[in-house]
Amino acid sequence: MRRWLPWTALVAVVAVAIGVAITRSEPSSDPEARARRLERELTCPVCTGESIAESNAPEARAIRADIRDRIAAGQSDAQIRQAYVDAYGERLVLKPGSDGIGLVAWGLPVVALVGGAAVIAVALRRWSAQPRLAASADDEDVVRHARVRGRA
Amino acid sequence: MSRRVRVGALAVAAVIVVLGVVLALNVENAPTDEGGWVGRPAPSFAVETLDGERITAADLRGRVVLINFWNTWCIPCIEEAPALKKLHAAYGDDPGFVMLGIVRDEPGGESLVRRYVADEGVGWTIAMDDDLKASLAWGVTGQPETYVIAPDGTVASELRGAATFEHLEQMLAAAEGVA
Amino acid sequence: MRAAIGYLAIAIGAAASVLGIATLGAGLHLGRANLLRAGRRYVAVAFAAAAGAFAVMEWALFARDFSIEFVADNVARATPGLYTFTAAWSALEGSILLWALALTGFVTFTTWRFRARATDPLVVWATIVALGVTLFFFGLMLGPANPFREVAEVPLDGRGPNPLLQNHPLVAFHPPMLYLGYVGFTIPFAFAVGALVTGRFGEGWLADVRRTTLVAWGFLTAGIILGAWWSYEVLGWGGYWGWDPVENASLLPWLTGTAFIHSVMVQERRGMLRVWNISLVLATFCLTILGTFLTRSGVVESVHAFSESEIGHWLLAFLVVVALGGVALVAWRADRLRAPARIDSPVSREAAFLLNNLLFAGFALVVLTGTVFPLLAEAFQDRRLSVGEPYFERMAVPIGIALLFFMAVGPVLPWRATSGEVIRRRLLVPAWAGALTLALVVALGAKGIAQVVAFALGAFAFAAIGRSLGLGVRARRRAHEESWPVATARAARGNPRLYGGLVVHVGVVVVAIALAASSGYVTKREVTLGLDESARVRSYTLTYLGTEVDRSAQKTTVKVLVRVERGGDDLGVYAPAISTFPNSRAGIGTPSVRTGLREDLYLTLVSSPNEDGRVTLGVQVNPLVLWLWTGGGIMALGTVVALLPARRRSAVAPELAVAPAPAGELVEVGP
Repeated sequence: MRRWLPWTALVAVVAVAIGVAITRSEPSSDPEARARRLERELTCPVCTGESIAESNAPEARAIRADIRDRIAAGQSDAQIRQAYVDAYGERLVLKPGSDGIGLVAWGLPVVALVGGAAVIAVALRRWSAQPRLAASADDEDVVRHARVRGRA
Repeated sequence: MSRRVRVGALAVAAVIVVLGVVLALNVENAPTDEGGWVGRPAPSFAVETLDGERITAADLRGRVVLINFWNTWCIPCIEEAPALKKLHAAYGDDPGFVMLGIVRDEPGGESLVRRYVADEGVGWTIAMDDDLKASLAWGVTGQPETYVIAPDGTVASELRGAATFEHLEQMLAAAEGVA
Repeated sequence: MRAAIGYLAIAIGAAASVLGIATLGAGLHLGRANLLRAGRRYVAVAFAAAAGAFAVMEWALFARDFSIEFVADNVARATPGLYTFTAAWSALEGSILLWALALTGFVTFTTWRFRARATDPLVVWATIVALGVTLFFFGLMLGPANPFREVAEVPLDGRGPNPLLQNHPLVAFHPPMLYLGYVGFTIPFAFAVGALVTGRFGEGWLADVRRTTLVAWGFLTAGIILGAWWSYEVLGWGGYWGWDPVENASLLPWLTGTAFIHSVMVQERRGMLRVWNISLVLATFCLTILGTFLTRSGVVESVHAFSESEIGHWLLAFLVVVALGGVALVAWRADRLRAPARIDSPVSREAAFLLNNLLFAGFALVVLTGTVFPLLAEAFQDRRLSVGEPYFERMAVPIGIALLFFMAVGPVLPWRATSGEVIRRRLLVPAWAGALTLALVVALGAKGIAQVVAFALGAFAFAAIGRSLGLGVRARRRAHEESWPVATARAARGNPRLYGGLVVHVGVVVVAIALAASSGYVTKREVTLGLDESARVRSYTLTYLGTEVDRSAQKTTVKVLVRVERGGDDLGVYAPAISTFPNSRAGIGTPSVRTGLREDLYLTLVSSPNEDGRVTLGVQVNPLVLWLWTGGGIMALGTVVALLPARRRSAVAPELAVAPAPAGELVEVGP
């Protein structure tokens, strides 16, 4: 029991700290935080490969301002995203949707990792279940004799 | 070769071939043209004209509207300017038709645009889009971009790039066809 | 005339490759040793040809020979010397030339290194494969990617390099190092194919390519870190990694290459994971070609993309042929590749490396899926979709955290099997280091689960590594009664692989902590200032002092001077800028960065003074970014240490043993 004490204490410390961190890290619904999140999810329509958060192009700056106006007007995150998709097309959103072909993007690596881990786990179990030494008939005799002698 | 190996190898080979096909197709094709606005209701927007008047999308309902995003320095804009002038000369008097030019990405500012309008004899309504709100509403990524809205508020035709007079007429015709 | 000489050199290179393959092939088939020895000479000829072509190109660039299209497109009369030199690889055709030069260099060196084994079929096959790749790249230059193509009308002045490529001296380092990394992996690939073909896929070929693989990996790592640094210091968007398709293309072979470097240890020790190792090295090479393809085929939109050309088809065809060929070879030999040995216990170093492989492969799959997904959508559904940071962060961060965990735990696990008791004893102190760090960081108010966990695991890993290092050095001190520094140096020389690896891991931990801090806790603001006005961001006060305009033949630069103060101390005047080049309308922003131990102050010029003389500045405070580059440097140092030859062990000293432990005894630390 005493051997496990340092580890139990450790797990307790970690659990508490993680718990606090989780509660503290919930996505804030403060307007500025929402705006920043949305900025990172949309790509700049006239630049190559910069998000709205990163780009200094006039369109990007205008979109940053527009996002804040829309949040102030009470629009939800989904509505704001949809407004930009309506104007510029699907390509403005920097992550695949959770439907149709988007599922392939999100699901494929997860399936591969989980599947791979499962295969490894099964293989490991199979291998460690195999006895490393196989008892021969002579070994069994020795054991049987010893048992008999012990009982007598 | 055991069966398991053969199946595994064929599966991996299939993935490689599919990936190769996908990449090859992409090398061939130009990126898909944006679906655009045709057939959809025009987005709501608001601009202030050089005369200080405020125009919104709602104000334009009931008429055929041609919106042209442009500025004074982009080469295709300069190229299509005569076509637009000719169109305005031909149809500008029609009360059922409105032409609206929206200036975007103009470092010279409003004063330069006013000089240009006066010098070049631009007769139709011009508005500045300094805060890019109208561009954002329409998803404009460059200039010139031209949209024609039918009287019922749906977008009848669109064009990215310099227009000819004939093309502009065709775009207007598409709007007439819609009630 | 220069064009003719250059093209001739390329033709000679191609011919030498063909002749080399033919001679070596004939030598193998007929069993004639003299043919085999002769065949090797063609490798040197190919290298000379590539070097000659490269020299001619530089000659043409400096001579402003605008009759050659590449020169006309990539240098102007006003281009400074450094950027004239780097123009050789600043566009597509030249980059292929640099690739061919690096490749022939590597192959020549390898041929020289194995000169004593010139008749060994494994070496011969590897040389044939390497020459095949060389032939492909020379062939590209003879046809679609001819660097010496001439123009119909010779222009008066050239266009000059892309503005982004003449803005910073890093252009002299980042691409060549990346290419050395990419190209270096051709050698292990060639040996792997040789091993499969000759049936000698034991540990021999691994030992043959160990150093080359490490060198290639080192260059690739350095190239990637330099690219991140360039992105940060030069491009001015405030970050160092944008999950741009071309950035991802450099990360993919790095991931599989790193997995390979680790996984080979299992094959060396126990003869296991052979299929994994061969597959990883084949995949790494294929991914380097995929990266080359993505950059040069116009398939993806990227800041890095070269101009489009037909080269895409050829690269793709080569890639598919190599990939399918590799699969076929592995399938052919698969049954013999499987080792008889089994992993004995889930709590062993073999099992940890196996999981490591899975995690790296999963990471690579995430990056590959995200990069290729828009192409899939385009091809099958005619839709234009984007994949960027939100996707990659969500998917890759958990994998990165898991890898950090295994990096801490793995080196502590013994081979074969162990008891829970041993693990608990070894990990207790490091685990507490991690737990206390976690508690401290959370108590200080940090937010973000990923960041907080990364810090904790970083401390855990540090402590575990420190423990390994400390035990090893302490054992040496006891045996030899040396001082700490001497003992450390001698211990490292005694087992450079282990110590080099531990130093690299230290670098990785530093990078991981810096990544967590600099991605999670950035402060970003835009401030608009009139002359002599100030603004406050975090603890900094910024005052707009004025604007300067520099005009040179190369470019025009608008610089905005900003005084930075903190807590009453004047930290100096910083000058973010925007430059315009004569042949391009776009302005290139240059950030001004104050690098500090704890954080960077990052200033960009968002818009030059407007009519009212007001200026808009982008202000960012980025924590711990300096440690990203420092960690990269530590990784490079560790790689160098790992490459050192091991000093022969003296009989007396109980050095950390490379040989397996005596039966029944679990050795504290392995190789």
